[in-house]
Amino acid sequence: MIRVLRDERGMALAVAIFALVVAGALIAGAFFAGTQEQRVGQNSLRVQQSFGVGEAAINEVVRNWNPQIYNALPIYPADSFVFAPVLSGGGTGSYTGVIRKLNSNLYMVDVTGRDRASAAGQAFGSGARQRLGWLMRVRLLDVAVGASLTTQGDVKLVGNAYVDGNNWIPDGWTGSICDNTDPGVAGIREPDTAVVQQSGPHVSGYPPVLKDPTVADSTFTQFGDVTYNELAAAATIQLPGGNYKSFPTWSGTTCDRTNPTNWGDGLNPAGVCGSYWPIIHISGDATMNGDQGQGILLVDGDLSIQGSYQFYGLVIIRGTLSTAGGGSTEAHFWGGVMAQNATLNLNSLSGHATLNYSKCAILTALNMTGIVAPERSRGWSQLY
Amino acid sequence: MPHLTRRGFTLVELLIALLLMGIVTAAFYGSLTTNQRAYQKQTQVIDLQQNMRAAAAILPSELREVDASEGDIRAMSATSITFLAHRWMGFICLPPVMPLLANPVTMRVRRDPFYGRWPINTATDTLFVRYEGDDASRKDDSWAHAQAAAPVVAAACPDTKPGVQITMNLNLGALPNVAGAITSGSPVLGYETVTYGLYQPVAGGDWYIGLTTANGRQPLIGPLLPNGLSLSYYDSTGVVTANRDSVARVDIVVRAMTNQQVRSTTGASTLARVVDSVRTSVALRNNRRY
Repeated sequence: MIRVLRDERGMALAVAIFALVVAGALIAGAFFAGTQEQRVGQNSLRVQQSFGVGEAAINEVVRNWNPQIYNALPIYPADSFVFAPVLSGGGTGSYTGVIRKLNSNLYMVDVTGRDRASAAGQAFGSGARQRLGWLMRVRLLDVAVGASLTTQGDVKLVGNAYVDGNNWIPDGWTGSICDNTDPGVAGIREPDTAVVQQSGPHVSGYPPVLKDPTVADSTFTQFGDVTYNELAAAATIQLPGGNYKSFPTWSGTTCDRTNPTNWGDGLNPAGVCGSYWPIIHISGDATMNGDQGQGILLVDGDLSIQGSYQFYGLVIIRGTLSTAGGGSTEAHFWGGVMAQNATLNLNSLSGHATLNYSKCAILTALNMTGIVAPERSRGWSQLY
Repeated sequence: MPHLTRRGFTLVELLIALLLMGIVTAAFYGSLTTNQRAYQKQTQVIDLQQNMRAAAAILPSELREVDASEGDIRAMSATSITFLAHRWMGFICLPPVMPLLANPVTMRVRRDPFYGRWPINTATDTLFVRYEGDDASRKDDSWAHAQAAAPVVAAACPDTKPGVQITMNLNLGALPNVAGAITSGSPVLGYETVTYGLYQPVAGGDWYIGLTTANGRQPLIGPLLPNGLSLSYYDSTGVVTANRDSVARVDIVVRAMTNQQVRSTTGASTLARVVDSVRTSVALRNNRRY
């Protein structure tokens, strides 16, 4: 049979299709590899940007440290401070994180930074993030307390007044910094001035009276790299001179920190206002007529204590300290008092006035009011 | 049509057809070859860039956490550095009894939060325990060196939260051995000794950045040029230093090359490896500040 080749067809189409498929596969492969490379490159860039956001964020947290919020945190594992996403400076991204209080003076700032595209959900996949941590230590005010009462002026002690340099722990106060076994410090530290004690001894300590020629104006105005004026400007409560009665106020479980005469609750450290430690600055002469307070008290003028009053922490007075009365309470001050007595008037302590040195009260006041600084070494870490 | 009367292609037609087919095939082949070479080069260059990216990511992230001022850098040269690399961080919930009477001592560390590698490798990890010293001063805050003396065991913290007990030999060095010097809440850091250095896995072969740990050495980044890793060390004033304790910044230069030879340009006849480099400056974050 003779075959008639009616359906003769070439192979051009098949070859062309094959060629197109091969070329297409190569081009697609090249594009795929290129796209992957571009994405990896972009992700690397985002990781770097997120890292920058994270580092900037930690510094921002430290720069804006609010002792009244962060220092009042309960010690971990109780609640930590969690901050919601915050836009970082210049719109470079955003960060979230948590601040954990590890003990009385140590904090862990744990921050996760994200670049702008990742934070906005515009990045491929889930974008990039970098988690960084920095251990922060409270930057204590460099105050040369060194005695229950430090002064430049003469001191007169009468009645039941007593200045005690032994290290006291206030009733009900606990915690590692209150477990110290330090014996104490001098009762009174002054350059070379008179200490008049009428009717028996009124001072004890190591030694009871320390003549210290280094006590000078700067002792009361310069605390390391912080001046008295800077400290006063950073005070939580600003008051003019006058007569005051301070006592804790709260609503439910919330301490009322808006009340300028609420200076915390040193008598009840576990109370609602027990964790409130303000810095109080009075820009003039002040008279206290009760009841109590805690923190750092700065008085530009003279301070007069009438009747029973209790203050826990550090007191710095640019003028003269005088006390009278005292009622049935044992002490006026727990911590350390520095009365510059610049006018060289008499520091007059009478009535049932007692100045008890307490390292625990001083340290707690400084820890609760201080800003933080990075740990001395090994504080920075990249968290995973 | 009768078979014998059918006419075939003439020789000329056949030659023309063959010529046209040859031209088309040559063009197609040329295109495929160019495409294939471009693809090959691209993948090689991508590998190269990935290598350099790895170098620019791994080395800085390890070095950032180094505290050279307190001896973390154990050895350093222009092509190699041995140091303590940070691996984990935990927090004490039950501190060792202080003053320290005798080693070994125990402490308990929380399981949460716990950052980094888990479980703790007691055979190889070096521990640093935060030393508070005097509460009233930051200037005596430090880290006590410790080495695990027994396997870590699960043990609850005093507040009943999950924790682990670490038995260790604590070395206070010159730090005062006083009560309360190590407090609850203090961090404990775990470190591993590592070496990053330029080496040749096979004599005469390619160079790599190798990572050496207690488990041995493995190639990490490469292939590199014979001068593929250059490390420069600077102190806090920006001056080159040979003193390990003074290092504040490390400059890293990585010179990598492709795995295979590729044509440098399309159509070039010579084959060569593509070379690229990356330079990174790393500031050490954990040097002692005051």
